[in-house]
This record gives sequence, C-alpha cells and structure tokens, in this order.
Amino acid sequence: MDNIQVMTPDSLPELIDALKMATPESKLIAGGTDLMILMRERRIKCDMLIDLSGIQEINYIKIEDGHVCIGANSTFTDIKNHQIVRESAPALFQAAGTIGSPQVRNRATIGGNIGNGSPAGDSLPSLLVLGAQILIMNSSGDIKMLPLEKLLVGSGKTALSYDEVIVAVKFPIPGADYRNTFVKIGSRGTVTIAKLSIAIGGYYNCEDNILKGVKIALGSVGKTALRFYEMERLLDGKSISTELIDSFCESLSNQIALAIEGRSSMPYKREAVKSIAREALCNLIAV
Amino acid sequence: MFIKFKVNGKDYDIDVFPTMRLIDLLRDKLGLTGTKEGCGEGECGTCTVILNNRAVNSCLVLAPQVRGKEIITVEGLETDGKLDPIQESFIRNGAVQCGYCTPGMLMASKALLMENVNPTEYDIKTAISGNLCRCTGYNAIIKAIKDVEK
Repeated sequence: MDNIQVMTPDSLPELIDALKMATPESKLIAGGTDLMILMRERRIKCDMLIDLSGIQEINYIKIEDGHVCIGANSTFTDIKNHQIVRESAPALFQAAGTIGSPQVRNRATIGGNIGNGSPAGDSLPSLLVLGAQILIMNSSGDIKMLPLEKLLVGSGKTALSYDEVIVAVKFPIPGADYRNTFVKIGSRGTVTIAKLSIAIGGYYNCEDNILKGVKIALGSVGKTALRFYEMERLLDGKSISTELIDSFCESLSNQIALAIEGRSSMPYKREAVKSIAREALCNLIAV
Repeated sequence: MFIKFKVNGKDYDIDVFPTMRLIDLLRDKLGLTGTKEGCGEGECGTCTVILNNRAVNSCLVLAPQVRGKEIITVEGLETDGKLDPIQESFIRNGAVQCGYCTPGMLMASKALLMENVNPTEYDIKTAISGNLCRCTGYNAIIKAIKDVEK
C-alpha cells in the first residue's frame, strides 16, 4: 500500500475536484470493507484513493417524488434500521441484515456494494426487483441515471468510468400490494459471502391469490446478479398453488444448472436454489 | 498527512501514513496494543473498536477516515483504575480463556450496551456475530453480557 495518494474530499464540490485528478488506476473508498482487503493482499494496482466517507451530502435515506432515495454513503446499518426501508422495501431490509457482521454493516455502504460489482453482492438482487436506478456523477459534476442492470457488466466490473462515482440509488416506492422478499444462503449464518441469493417481487393479494408483475433476481449464479425473465413469466398472472411452486422450483433449478454448467458448485446450487426459491415464495405470499 | 481525532477521550493531531490502517495507528503509533489483529480481513472481529459510537473492524478503516471522529478502544473502558461493568461481568462469568478475542468481544458488547441497556439474547448474539472465539463456546460470553450490572 505504498506510494498511494489519498484524497479526502469533505463535500461534493471537493469530490468533483478530486475526480478531475483520477486516473484509470484510481480507486474510490467509502466503507473499505472490500477494498481494504484487496489492497492489503496487493490484488489491485492503485495510484490514488479518493475517500468518500466524509461526504455527508450523499449520506441520506428519504422519499422524494414517489421514490425511495438512498445516498451512496448510507451504511447497511442505517439502511436496515430505517423505517422507510423496513416498511416499503423488505427485500432490501432483509438483504442489508445479511451483510457481514454488525462491524461490517456499520461501515459498508450501498454505493460500495454496487460499485464493487460482485456477483454475490447482497443488495443487488433486491435492488434489481425493486427497479433501482443508480445516480452517477462525473468529474464535471454532471449527474446521469442508469438502471442497475446496465451498470453491472461483469464479475467485479461496472460500467463506471474512472472519473465517475455513484452518488445515490433510487427506486419507486413499492405500493402496499407490491410484496418483495430476499433470501440468502452461505456457508455460515453470518459473516458469509452468498453462495446463492434470491429476491422476488410481485403484486399479490390474498383474495385472488394471483402474483402479477413478478420480478425475480438471483445472485451468485452468473458474472453479475441478474433477473430471470423466463422464470418471471412462469409465475406471472398464475394462481399460487403447491403444484405451481413445485414446478417453478424445478424449472429454476434447471435454469441454474444451465447457467453455471461446468462449475463445480453447480450440483450444490441446483439443489439449494429450490429451497431458497420455495422459502422466498412462501415469505412473499404469507399474510 | 495530519489528522485530528480523539481516542479514549484524548485529542490527537498527528501525522499518519495515508494508507495506514486504524489498527496500525492505534497499536504502532499510539501504543494502544489492547486491540488485536486476528485475520486482517474483517471476519474475526478481534480488532473491533468503537468509532463514533459504532463497533467497527479497525483493520478495515483507513487512518485518514477517522479525521474528526472519536474512537474508544479496550483501554478506554476503565475509568480512574476502575473496570467497566462489562469487564467485571466477563471476569465474574468466566468469559475469558486465552483472552485473544476478549478486547474485540468487549468492544462489540460495549457498543451494544451503549445503544440498548437491556438487550435480548437475540440482540446479544447478533451484536457479537462478527466476533469469533475459539475457546469459550460463546455461552459464558453471552451470559456475561446479559449479567452486566446496570
């Protein structure tokens, strides 16, 4: 970690100035819960670190224009403790609670979890089913918005340029009928990278027992967290029954087997996905 | 680079290597060796300190990131030679064996009790879920946290 310049902007204007000095080898650090490890193991080359942790303007959770807006510096402790998230976005609330440990959650930020672009990133499946858009600022101070799907381009890779930074995440406030849930499985109960994760969202009411507008996203089954559109069509507009859940889990299992064919984890994941999909669906339709 | 911060109630304004970790700042620069390094990856919790009232893994915090902030380490638990109630409870309940996880466990527990004076067993287990202990089997530690005198 020698010869690395560290910039410590404490405001957005200072951040813009720091981004102007960034090079393709520069890195952004907020909570540091992924980056510090990579740097210590010398697994990445870095000439400059821009420390985002002091920028209070991107540390917020609020409702604005019918959207839940979360500043990139919000930690997962803040996210999981926030009433807005707990009430309107249980999938994100549940995901936030599975990240690392309390010590990690007190530091890890949603901007970092997205920017790290891990296929196992815990917030990503939930953000996908919530229809998240990502606000990105560049070194000229311009802000653009990108759907999360377009930002995640590969394992550990995002579409961010070296002089761009995630400043916020926003998604439409899920209505009362838009249920959403998240399940993760790892080798341990806590402090564990997801071996598999699933988020499911959909409009559901108990009277007609039909799921509509279904969104399904999985983590740790591809280079990025991704939506499974074919699986969504299997459930959409159907009456939920034990038979439908069984056939859905079986079809999803086959999809996973294809998606990670040849991977040594495939035999495990094709079985385990049936359990987490069943659990997620049952959570979703529970009263 | 010079940074100003507080540790255990004492103000500091010192020059740090910009990519120094907080754990190294505490142990090597300030001589506060109560905070231990176990894994260096934020998985074992041995390096836990309290940063602005929240438990964090000091092996994952960059020194410049503590500018303007307050840190409490295990050395800061005692006041005027008197142990903190959490420390007394750990001793009373046999929650210390080799002692290596103990500073981290104490700080994770202290952070919990600063926020919640009457934690449930679930709250306690969650609070120490980021702290590994290879000796005690955790039960004595959980009992010690429950048994803290208010």
